[in-house]
Amino acid sequence: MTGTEVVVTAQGLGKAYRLYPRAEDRLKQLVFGKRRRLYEEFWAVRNVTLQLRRGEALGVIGENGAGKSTLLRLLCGTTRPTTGTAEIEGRVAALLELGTGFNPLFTGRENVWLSASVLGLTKGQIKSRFDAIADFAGIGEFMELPVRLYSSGMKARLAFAVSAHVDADLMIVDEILAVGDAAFAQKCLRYLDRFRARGTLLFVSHNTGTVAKLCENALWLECGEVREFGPAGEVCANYLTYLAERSEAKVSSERNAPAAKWKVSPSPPLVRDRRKRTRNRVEVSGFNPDAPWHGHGGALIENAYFCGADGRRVTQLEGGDEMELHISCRAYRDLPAPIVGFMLRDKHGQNLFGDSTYLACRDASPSVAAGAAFTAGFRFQLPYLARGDYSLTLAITEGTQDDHIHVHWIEEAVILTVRTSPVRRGIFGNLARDIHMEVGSAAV
Amino acid sequence: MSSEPVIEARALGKAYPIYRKPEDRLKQLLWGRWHRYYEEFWALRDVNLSVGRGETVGIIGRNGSGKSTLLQMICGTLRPTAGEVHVRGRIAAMLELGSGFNPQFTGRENVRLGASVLGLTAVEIEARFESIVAFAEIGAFMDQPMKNYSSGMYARLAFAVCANVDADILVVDEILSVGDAAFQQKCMRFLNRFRLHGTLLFVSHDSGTIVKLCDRATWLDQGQVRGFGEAKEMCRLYLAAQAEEATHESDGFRLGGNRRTFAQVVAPHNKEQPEIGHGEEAEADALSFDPDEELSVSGGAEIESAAFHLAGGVRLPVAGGGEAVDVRIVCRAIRMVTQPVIAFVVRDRLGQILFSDDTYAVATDGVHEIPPDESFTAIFSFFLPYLASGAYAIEAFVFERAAGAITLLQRRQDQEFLYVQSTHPSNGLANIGMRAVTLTVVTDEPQRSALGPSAEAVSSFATEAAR
Repeated sequence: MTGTEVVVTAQGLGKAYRLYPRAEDRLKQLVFGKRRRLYEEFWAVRNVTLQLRRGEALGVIGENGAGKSTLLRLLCGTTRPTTGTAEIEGRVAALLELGTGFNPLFTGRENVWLSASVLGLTKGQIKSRFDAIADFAGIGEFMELPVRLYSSGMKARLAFAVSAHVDADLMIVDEILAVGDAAFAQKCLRYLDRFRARGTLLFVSHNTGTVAKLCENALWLECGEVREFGPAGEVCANYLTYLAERSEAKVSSERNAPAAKWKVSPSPPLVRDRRKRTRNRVEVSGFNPDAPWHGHGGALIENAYFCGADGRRVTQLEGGDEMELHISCRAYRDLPAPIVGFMLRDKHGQNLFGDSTYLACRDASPSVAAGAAFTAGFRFQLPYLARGDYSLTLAITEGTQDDHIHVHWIEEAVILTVRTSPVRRGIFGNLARDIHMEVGSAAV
Repeated sequence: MSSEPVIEARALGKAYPIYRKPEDRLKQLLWGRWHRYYEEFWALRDVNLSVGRGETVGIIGRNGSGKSTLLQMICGTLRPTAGEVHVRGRIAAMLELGSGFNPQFTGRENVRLGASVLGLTAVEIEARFESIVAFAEIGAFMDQPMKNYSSGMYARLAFAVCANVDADILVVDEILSVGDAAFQQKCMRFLNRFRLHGTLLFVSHDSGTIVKLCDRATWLDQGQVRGFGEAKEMCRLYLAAQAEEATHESDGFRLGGNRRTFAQVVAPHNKEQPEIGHGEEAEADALSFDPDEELSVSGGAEIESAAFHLAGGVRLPVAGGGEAVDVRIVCRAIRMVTQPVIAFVVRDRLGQILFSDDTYAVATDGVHEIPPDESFTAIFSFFLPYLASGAYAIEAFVFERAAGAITLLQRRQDQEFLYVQSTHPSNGLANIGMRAVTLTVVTDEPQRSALGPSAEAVSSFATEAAR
């Protein structure tokens, strides 16, 4: 293990652009530049020093225009620094802003050859890996068309596919996952997760969740300068806190209390809203096995119904009541670790809330033999729902929360109809524990 | 639905020649009349589409399915190989391809260029320039060549131009996936307003956004229309197709069942139940106003802050979901305010209201008459739902209830956000905390049970959530 080997070194790295107030100043500067300075300097990146060792993953976060993209360009040498130096050891595969490095006039195939050979692969290597690259990209016949005809999603697919097959020591990934579709993003994240075991990763994203998951450390850039560097979870949380506080600080002179650390919250206790409100009556239809479904059918959902707090089956619910959703299933094949889940949707098909047995049962997941019946139960307090029709989507899957195979997935299997509701605005009614008003600004 | 379609595509197709060998290209030039040296690849084939005025239509499909090609042809930046497309009205497009920006020019120059391409006169551009710059919020980068822009900045500028050209039809490509939270709120507010009168064509691979925004959707797959209809149904088919791809072939994959409309499921006589305002709905305990309207304020009070706090404690800028929280709204009277009522709404990234509450039905002892310059505060205590990760906007309102009438004194929006780093694995808008989740295997064949003699539940895996 060469865990101490430094792969990326940046020393006092900075990039300044010249801003000319008028177009003609650019020419004047060229001609008379020795005597006068007609431009203003704008530092896109300033004084960044960092070191990255083999096997490390660093996330770069920051707002639009904070200098993230410029920093990456400086590190991989596509932009020349105004100050400082950047050095990289080993083979770099850089996925910068979409499709840089591709020649738009060449076909996808030609560009694969081009960029793979630029990255140091031999002819033989490219030949033997080409099919794997094309397969990973999954863009079909577009491979034979000029890259200028590609959408950003297709460019991202091709670029990632090449990078994943050149035995890179360092991968630089900039926002690229935002443009791919969900299936491709999953594939890339799976690849990056594996890549981390042997290579070094520099990752830029707006999605702090992905950064926190994928990277040990994070670098937070603000106006081109390093605002914070440290463990990814911590830096991401501080960044989000900063975003929130800044939006408040604009108008409020009130001093902000220190940020609370986010944590996994336990299930909330039962809440009673003591206001006298319109009742929230919800009628529940029976289970419809002939509702639209798909899956490989290794197990089937046979029934789903609600029980009241006393355990008896009910067809009328009341918003704010505690109840249990039962989902009865039967296996037709051996299922080593089935996951049962549900999702409540509104009439447009929008997901409102749902859950699955995955997290609750993953440490002791029961395996189900062919022919056996199994049931899932979800006990919760029904929120107040706005008037209208809702549906339950029910599913049995295999795998994990993020990466699974649909065994049986049935939509609109149970219909809920809300006739009366206290909800006036929005989708949910607020289950208030308490509401009060007082005179004064109520300093805590 | 309007009688006259504003976008109409008939048998639209786009083919590209694929030359297997470079020399074929030359041969085609020389002897192309007599022989064909290329294969045709249809990026899009036989697409029929009709979009009425004021409709919002989504286009869903995986990368490379032809979404961008279709949009480009609708916008006129790409010439169809077959069929035709008619567009009535000014069409503004936020496309990644052929957006009309020149990377060598500065943002400022490109704004003028882009706006004049869209048919604005020099005077019109001048008049709107400031609002475009203000919408984009990219500061000094306005004077940088666009090749130095990040994709986020690029998107900001493109959106800012499109939002300020009085388009009849707006075409939005996945561009919204770049850009930060505050900008997304702004874009969604614009789009939601635009949808009231304009026609919107929206491309995404996020089915959640499609079902929320669109009435109907087209599902494209490998250049062909796999389906056109209700957005919800198209998203279901798209999801099923993705699930099929993830399933091993040997496992087999099937699709079945029939969709029934809600009306078919719900007993018809029940549909005649009283509407809002009758029966049990007590009008007296409800404050009715529409936060999606542009409301006029009379200004008798100021809202000084409106923020989420941990119950009884510090400010909560970042939440995980499930916390006991207080929404505290602090107001100050400018003149004598009689019987104030305070309300708030929380909006998600698409600008829709998730939940709201108000003090209308709450006893307000001691808060009847607020003298000028006195502060008054409303505190709403509840458990935060397990919101999906993202930024949520908090909007606050203060009303006065005097002489039987309700008047809006002040509204505060765009000032505060709650950031959520979700701790809930599901992707609902506002998940709820489960009090218990169980998964139980019922073995009713004792001879197959290796675990024990009981015919009852042999293995029960119950996780009682803490507390």
